[in-house]
Amino acid sequence: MAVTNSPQGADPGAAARPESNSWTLRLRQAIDRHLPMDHLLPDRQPYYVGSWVYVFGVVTIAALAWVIASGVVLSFMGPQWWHDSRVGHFFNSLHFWSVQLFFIFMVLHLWGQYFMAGWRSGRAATWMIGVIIFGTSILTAFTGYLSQQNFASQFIAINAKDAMNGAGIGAFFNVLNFGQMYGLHVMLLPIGITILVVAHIVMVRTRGVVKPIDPEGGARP
Amino acid sequence: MLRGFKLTPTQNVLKEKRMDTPATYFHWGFILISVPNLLVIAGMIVLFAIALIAPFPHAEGDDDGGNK
Repeated sequence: MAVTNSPQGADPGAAARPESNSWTLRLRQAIDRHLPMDHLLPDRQPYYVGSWVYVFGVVTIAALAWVIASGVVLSFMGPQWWHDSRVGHFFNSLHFWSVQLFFIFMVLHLWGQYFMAGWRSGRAATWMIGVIIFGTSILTAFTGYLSQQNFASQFIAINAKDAMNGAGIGAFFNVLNFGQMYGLHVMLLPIGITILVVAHIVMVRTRGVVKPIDPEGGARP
Repeated sequence: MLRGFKLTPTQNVLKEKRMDTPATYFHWGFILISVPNLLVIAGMIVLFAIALIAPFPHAEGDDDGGNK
């Protein structure tokens, strides 16, 4: 990294100095080039975004925020609390129902994007990351059912083990191993989903919302 | 009830008033789904249709909003 003795804001020789080749400068220029702030935080939207169908995605994110917030409380307080106290029951229910809303609105968002062919005009990676988020969310929900610490979670684990062994993944994904399922549920999978959701949103904001399909045939350029 | 459709009550939920009893199932040919799950899917379809039809408040904006 280039070092200068000039105080910040007072660099009269900056114009004459040859351009630095430091990685920080190249990274900053790449961010400026690919992630302009007027795309990341727009104040206006195209006319075709004026539809409730476009609200499903952001409601899904809102539900995910409630899932994570209630999950943090549950993981901090523990199974005895969420099974035996009234406030624990409340947060347990908050976690469960926010997950239901997360999946419902994620599927509605999926339907909307499917019928408007949201993968057009260079948005295939955005679509595929959404597919991976959907699959990872199902795995996270499954490990959540296995982490309840009640008879239902034992019933699910005992019945699921044969399917996992039959699929050949029981050796490294052991549904009878509570520690593994709980660790996956509260740590690795939520972090993975959060990173993927951030990438998904940045990609949507960078390219903007896909244009409607031309009713006369063919996609608009 | 339509001919060919069959509801299979495993327990009378209304009488017991318990939430942990097995659900009633809807059975039509190869389709077998619990009534609660069926209601959720039906509700999602209704919500999707409303989202398509209902007017969006303050629907205005740029022609393309700078989208690529």
